Amino acid sequence: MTKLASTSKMKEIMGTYYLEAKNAAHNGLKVAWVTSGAPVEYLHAVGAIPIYPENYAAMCGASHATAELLRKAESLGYAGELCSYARSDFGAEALQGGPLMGLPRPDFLVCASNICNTVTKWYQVLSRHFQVPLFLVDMPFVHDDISEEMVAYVKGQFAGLEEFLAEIMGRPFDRDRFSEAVLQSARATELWREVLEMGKARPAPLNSFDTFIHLAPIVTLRGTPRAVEYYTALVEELRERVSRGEGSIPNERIRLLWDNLPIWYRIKYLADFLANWGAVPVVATYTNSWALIGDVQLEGRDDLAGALARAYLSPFINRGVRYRIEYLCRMIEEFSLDGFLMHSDRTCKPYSLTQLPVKEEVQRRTGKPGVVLEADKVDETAFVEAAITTRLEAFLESVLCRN
Amino acid sequence: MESKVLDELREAAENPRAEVMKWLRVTGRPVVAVLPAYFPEPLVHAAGAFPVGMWGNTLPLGASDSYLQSFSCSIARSILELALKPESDFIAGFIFTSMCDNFETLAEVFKLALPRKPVFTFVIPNTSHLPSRRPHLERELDRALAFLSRVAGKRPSPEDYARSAKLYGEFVRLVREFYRHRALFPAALSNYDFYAVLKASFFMPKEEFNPRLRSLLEDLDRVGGEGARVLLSGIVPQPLSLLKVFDAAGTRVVGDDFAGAYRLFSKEPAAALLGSEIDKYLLSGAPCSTLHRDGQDRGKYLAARVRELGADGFVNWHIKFCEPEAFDRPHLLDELRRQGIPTLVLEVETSSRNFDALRTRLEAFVELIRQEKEKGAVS
Repeated sequence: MTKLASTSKMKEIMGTYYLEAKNAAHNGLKVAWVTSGAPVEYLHAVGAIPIYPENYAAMCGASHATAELLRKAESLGYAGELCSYARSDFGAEALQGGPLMGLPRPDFLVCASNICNTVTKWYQVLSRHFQVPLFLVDMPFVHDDISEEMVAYVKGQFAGLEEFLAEIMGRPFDRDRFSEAVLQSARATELWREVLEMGKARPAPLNSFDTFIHLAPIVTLRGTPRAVEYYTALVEELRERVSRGEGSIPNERIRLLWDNLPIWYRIKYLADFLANWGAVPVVATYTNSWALIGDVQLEGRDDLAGALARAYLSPFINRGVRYRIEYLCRMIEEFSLDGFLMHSDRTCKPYSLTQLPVKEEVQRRTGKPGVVLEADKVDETAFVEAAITTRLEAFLESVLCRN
Repeated sequence: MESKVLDELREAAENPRAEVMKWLRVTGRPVVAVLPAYFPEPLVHAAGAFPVGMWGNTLPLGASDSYLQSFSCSIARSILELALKPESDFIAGFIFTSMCDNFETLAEVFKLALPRKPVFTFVIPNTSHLPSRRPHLERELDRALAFLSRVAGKRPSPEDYARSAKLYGEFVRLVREFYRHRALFPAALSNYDFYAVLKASFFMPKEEFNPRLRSLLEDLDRVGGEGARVLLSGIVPQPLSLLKVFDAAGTRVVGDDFAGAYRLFSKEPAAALLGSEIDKYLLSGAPCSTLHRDGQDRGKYLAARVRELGADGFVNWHIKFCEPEAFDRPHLLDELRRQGIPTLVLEVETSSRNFDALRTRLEAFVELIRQEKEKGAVS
């Protein structure tokens, strides 16, 4: 992992965020559990505190706290074939487990289906468990292009979300605060994109494993000045690294793309393994999803809801294979890549189930090799080290031969 | 029971390809595969095509393995396996819905695996904001009609649709009558035959199926019979042969909650070619794990159905890797157990053949029900 001065700052702001969330009820604030792709700007507009169970599940995974949570979820009847984030969340709630000893209880739930249909089922479970209202923002999978009709459909639901929030908070929806939150969100996502584009430099000043860690504020704090402040400093630090020609690994020989969610409990292991080969992922479809949001937000000042709808329909995981193939080919070109890594996440169907034919097609079009690594984002039992290293070695050798 | 009609329907369920080819030859209508779940099928019929239900099969997996990982559900994997076979080339197009992540991505995999085949996904609205649904469904209806006119060569008129809706209205009325008879006289047909008849409806034009089911209904005996009365729930009763194990174990399936059976047939076909009518269709009928409705409680719903049908127990027939069903399961089982209803979970793949372990568990469950009944009779 790259040593960045900003890392300690990030730990500090994330710590503050979770501390405030833990004390929310005590301070008379309402807590909402939301999905990572929810239009959180609406929540900031009403002063509710958004909590991200997905982020917490990732934290539990990175700190090797997941096994116990998954066992608990299984004892509650949640089968091992279900999303391991959801199972971690159920286990953490039942045990008040993980690094933060559980999450603060929600007053209401907002679920957006732009990352999967799984979250719909997950949030139904939460709604029954906590006996709190759930608002489901339905954002259909984009098989072809984002049409005006789809945007109109999502905008209609945003209007419904405003009404839902006004009722829950007991006061009218605040448009000025909403515009401010969208602006903050757009600035932060713009900066986040700058961070990610730094990966184009040779050598890259940071790698995808770093971006998995520095992703936390854009997921949890977008829409607030804190995220803007944080990424402003990170961009600055990275610019200096680029100007000094400092790479994230000593001898960058192989530049790669990472597809799908991180393998949270093996980030350091994989980073070190690849670095030994002079290999480094410099761009990831996963982290890029939060940069797409900024794109459209800045264009749509006159129609914020429409711009947000378009933005939140955009993430890679919500797109069909034609988009995925073109996107991967473009990244390979723009980031001067030698190949691509695909994490086939056993419990994430929408991200993973298109990977096999997409890999073939991207290889055909670009001539760059890809490799599929079978694992799971937080369920460590799915990671078979010998199988992964054998595959990676064969892949890296083939990349070196081509080079 | 034995009858010529029953033999014919059983044959259709057991040899879908031969059945579909037969009707393709007779009607000359292009075959459109309708995948799970809830696409308004009368639209396909109105466009002059022959809609065929595709809910998974028992084929051993081979070619599909290069396209789909093993954690895809076997319904999706086996459908792809079948579609990749050269003998399936007669299928003119495939209709998906947004029911789950597995099928949304399967539609995308089809585009790469079968690039020449037209593929359409109907987006079912799943929102807490009800007014958004209708304009969205107007648009989906329009997209569906455009697809059908491309595949079937005809954009149906409102009159065409009205005729198809009438035919499908008659179809669901007959099927519901079949279910009512089942709940009252479960010994009239074996469990296997009951579901074979329902499955046959996927592979026959409804013009052909309706009179056959009507004639079968007239011939059915009115006998109750002994045995443990159970309600089955799951995504689809596949593999069909597992029902023979239910027969051998002495159960009487008195009703079900399969997405590919009762949930599907409980929906009232849209009365007209309008988004608002499609909306009524989608909102009608039994709750489903794949359709979000605010505040819906499938646990309470199923407990009520168990009581209404006079069932002695509940069996969850789980196709592995079906996420919507697996998410609902803990709640369903908790609620049913809380209400004192015996429950059993059986896990299968669509291609499962060896049922030894399941047979033992089902027999133990039947014994448990028998003991519960005796206790009830004594107290």
